[in-house]
Amino acid sequence: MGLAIMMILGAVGVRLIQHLSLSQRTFSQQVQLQLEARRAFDQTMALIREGTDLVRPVLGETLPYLIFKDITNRVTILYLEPNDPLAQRLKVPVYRLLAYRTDYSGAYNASNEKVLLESVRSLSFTSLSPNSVQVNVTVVQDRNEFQFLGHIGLMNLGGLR
Amino acid sequence: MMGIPTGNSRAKRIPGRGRAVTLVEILVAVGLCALIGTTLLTFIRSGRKEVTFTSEHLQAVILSQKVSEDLIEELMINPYGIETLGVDTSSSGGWQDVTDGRSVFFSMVEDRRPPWGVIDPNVDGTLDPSMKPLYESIRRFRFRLAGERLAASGDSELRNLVNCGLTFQWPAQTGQGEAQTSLLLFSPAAPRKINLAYTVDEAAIDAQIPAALGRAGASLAQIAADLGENVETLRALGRIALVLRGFVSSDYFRTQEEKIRQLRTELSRVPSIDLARQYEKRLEVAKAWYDLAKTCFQVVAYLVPQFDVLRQQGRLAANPQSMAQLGGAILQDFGMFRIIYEYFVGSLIQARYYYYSLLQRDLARYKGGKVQLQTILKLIDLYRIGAVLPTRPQGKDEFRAFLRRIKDSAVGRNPSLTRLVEYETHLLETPDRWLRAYPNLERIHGLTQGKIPETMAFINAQVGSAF
Repeated sequence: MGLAIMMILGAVGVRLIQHLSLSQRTFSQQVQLQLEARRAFDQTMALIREGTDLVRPVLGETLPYLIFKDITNRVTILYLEPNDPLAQRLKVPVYRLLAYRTDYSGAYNASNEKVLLESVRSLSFTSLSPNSVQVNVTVVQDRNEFQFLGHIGLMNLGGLR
Repeated sequence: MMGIPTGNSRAKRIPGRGRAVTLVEILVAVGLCALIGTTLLTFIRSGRKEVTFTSEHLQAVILSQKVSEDLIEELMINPYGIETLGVDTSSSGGWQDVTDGRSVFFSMVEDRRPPWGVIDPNVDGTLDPSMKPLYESIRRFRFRLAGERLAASGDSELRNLVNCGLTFQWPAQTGQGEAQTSLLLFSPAAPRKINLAYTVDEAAIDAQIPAALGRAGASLAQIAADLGENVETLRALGRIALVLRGFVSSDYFRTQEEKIRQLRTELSRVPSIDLARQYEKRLEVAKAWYDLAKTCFQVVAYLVPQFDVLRQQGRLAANPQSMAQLGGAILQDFGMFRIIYEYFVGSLIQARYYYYSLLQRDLARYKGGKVQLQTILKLIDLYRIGAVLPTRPQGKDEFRAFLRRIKDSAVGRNPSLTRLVEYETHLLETPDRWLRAYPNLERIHGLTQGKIPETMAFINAQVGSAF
């Protein structure tokens, strides 16, 4: 009788610990996802804020990529590239968000390329003003998805022109 | 073989066998396990709530940033952006839902359906259930935006500053979630503290007045006594004559037209495909015309008060023949006032024409949306002035037609510009309110619609009587 009760208690304990462990992992993933999203948003914002003119999307347009010029007339493009290993693991299409800034040589230079985010489920840039751009991103991690809508202003040149 | 405990089990123990577990011990163990389990579960639940709250708070911060950027954007092009966005200017603004198109800030999120490039709020991007998982995570969010100018009225520069408070709220698992942001925004509504009139060295001009009146060496008081006129009238007369002569014979006035002619010749030689130079030359011509218009207006603005003195105080005004005795040349100078005014109007219209030409599709595309927007804002200013000129009765209709054209191209693409144009069109229906909304324009209107026609009539009367 005592043994049976101990076994039941033990089983309950083990299940509890398993559940706690799973919950803990899920929480960790959620926290990590949010941190990742926040980090990516901050990075993207810092990059776009250096821009002075939007090339694409044009006013009223929504596109999955963004092209803008900065004050020194360098062009930066933010675009998605399939992230196949992650897509296979998660069994959904996943992309990584890359930023490439052209230099004046006109040739591809790998050092000008930067990965902003590894696990993008969807992304869109909308232009509603020549001075800013709206960004809508869904990031994914395991079974969790996190989506946010950001509004990023371009650099204000003031009287420089 | 197992031994069977008999009698007092505490007293008698069978060697090799442990003591059995009592019910009390089991209950204690179960209680301890339950306590530990409950503690852990509470801890986990609390952690989950914290994570959820952090996530919601992050969304609130990002949404606050969106609303803030929208406000900055609106105020950048529209001094009445606070009003056009429907911000409650009282300290207790009303609550707005974020989703389902219930707020102007989130009603144009994405262009999702054709025709591409134009966002139709009826079919395109509001934050609705199709935007998962964002919709699910923020559909219970609501926000309140209140804005108040630091000075409600008057000429104080504090009137240009708007203090905005933005509060996002949502029902969080831990209670009511709230994220607050405050902003101090620049929204110019007070008149600019600038003198519309040309700045002249009045002391130097006054010293030349006796000579201009043909009495070099005499003081104004002596001349006034001889003529039976007061000093102020003679001073005003002398200033008018000297400033008009000085301006018409100035290098600036003589060379500005030549400079414009040269620029236009250069523009005509620029190939239409050379967009960079086309833009540059057109802008140069527009700026040159605008500069001429501005300078002529400043001269007119300086002279109008002098004519007022002459008109209201001097007995000369009642007796043009006596003014003619001072020298017909002075009366002829009066005619230059009309010429300078006409130059102001003509140059303004020319400047508007050349600024407008910068909106040509190829040039606008080449220079980008920011430059295009700046040009539109400049043109709105020029059309506003054109609409208060007494010699251009069609000015208001031209302005309305321009606003319609801008609205046609901005609807579904640039909500801030659309709101600005709609607000301006609405204001134009009630001219008094429209003028009050733009104090600087009201000052120009005060001169052009009130003082200038009176001055023109006075000059006509004087010149007509004398000759």
